[in-house]
Amino acid sequence: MRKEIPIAVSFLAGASIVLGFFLNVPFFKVTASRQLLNWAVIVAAFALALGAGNLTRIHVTNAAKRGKHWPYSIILLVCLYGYLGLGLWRGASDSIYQWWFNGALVPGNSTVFSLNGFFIISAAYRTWRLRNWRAALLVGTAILVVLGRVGIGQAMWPALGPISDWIMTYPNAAGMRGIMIGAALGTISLGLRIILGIERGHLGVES
Amino acid sequence: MLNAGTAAKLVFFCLFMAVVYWGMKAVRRGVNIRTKQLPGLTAIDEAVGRATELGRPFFANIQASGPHIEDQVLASCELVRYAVQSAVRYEAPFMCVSNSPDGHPIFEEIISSAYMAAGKPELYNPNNVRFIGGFSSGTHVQIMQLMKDENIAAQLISGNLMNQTMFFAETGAALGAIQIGATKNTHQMPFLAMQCDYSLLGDDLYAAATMISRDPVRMGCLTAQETGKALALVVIVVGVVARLMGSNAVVDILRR
Repeated sequence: MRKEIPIAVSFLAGASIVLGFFLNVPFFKVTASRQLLNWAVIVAAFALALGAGNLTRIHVTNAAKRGKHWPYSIILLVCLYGYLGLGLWRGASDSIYQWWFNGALVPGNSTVFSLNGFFIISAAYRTWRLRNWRAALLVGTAILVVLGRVGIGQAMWPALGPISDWIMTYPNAAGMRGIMIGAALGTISLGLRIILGIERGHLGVES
Repeated sequence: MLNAGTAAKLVFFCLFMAVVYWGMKAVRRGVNIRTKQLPGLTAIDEAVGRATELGRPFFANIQASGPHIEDQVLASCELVRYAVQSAVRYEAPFMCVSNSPDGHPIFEEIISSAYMAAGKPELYNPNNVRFIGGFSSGTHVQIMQLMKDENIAAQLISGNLMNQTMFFAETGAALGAIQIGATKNTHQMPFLAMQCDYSLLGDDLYAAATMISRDPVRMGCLTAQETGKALALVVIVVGVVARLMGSNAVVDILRR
């Protein structure tokens, strides 16, 4: 029963969504598929509580044992439950609640996000080595696109802009769409396997 | 009866189902279906071997972009299972981190089951399966710090990857870890191709999960996947030729 019930639920939920997509039958189109999507939000909220439980267990243990970086564990727990408490007490639209989000989290996120620029340069430096003809093709194309996208490149040679646009619009977009078609078929295949109960990896058991 | 614009999709879906059925029957009859080699899949064993030699963890880093369970996270389950089974066999340290609240309990179950099935439950440490939630940079920094603290030897970065790809792959590269990247997100593929030693891109992520098992039914699905790609290619070529000849027939049929 540990496997059968989740497989039956997967079949009913998956089949309802698929039928809701194809058939103009109010039960499938509106009631079943939309309700199921609403339920998914509720289930996700419960799953989030499980995740918070895992986070709490690990960091309480770490703080209690004075493990590695234990002061950060305390900060994490204070922030997690303090912010949760603040939200429950004053509501999500409260100015103090919003201030902590907009004044602390958003700038912190932006700061860390900006590191991406340096990471990309470091990764490009390692990758752009002329090891073989394919690497040379990659480097050549990348240089054309990079120079075509910045002012200095177009100032040096005005044709770089249109060349860069052509590379992005035709060969790049065509390649990407080919990959997307393949990935979409993979998704359909996985979805079918789950709906039909062939794929059971998500139930924690070997298929 | 049918929703507008779904007739062609329904025909394609039915064809796909028919090929899945045919593929399953063929594999069950003993027809040997040739499949492509996926270096990214065989690299998992190599990565576990490296983790065993160095005595440092194999790090499965499964990312989602939202709180709901996602197809790429589900496809990653089989990769995690394969990696943990291999790690348990060689007693290599194994860690799994996920930001997917729905995915975390699944990974806990998969990993603990692998230790139980191998008869080595004493090696299972629940603290090595972590939920580091959220979809912000703070989450990424926490995972990067964990990677550095644990001094990982190998990393599997998989799932619905967004900007975090660079953070994790660069940290892994700085630690000298062997890296395998898997995603279907086209915007992250260049980064994975650049930074990872091996990759499972696009439908390879889904094919890998199937090829691990060699199960006839799943192989049938893989056959359908490949046949679908061939069919899509034919439709694209016919559509392009028709359009060049001034006909919109293929586009009109697909829009029905």
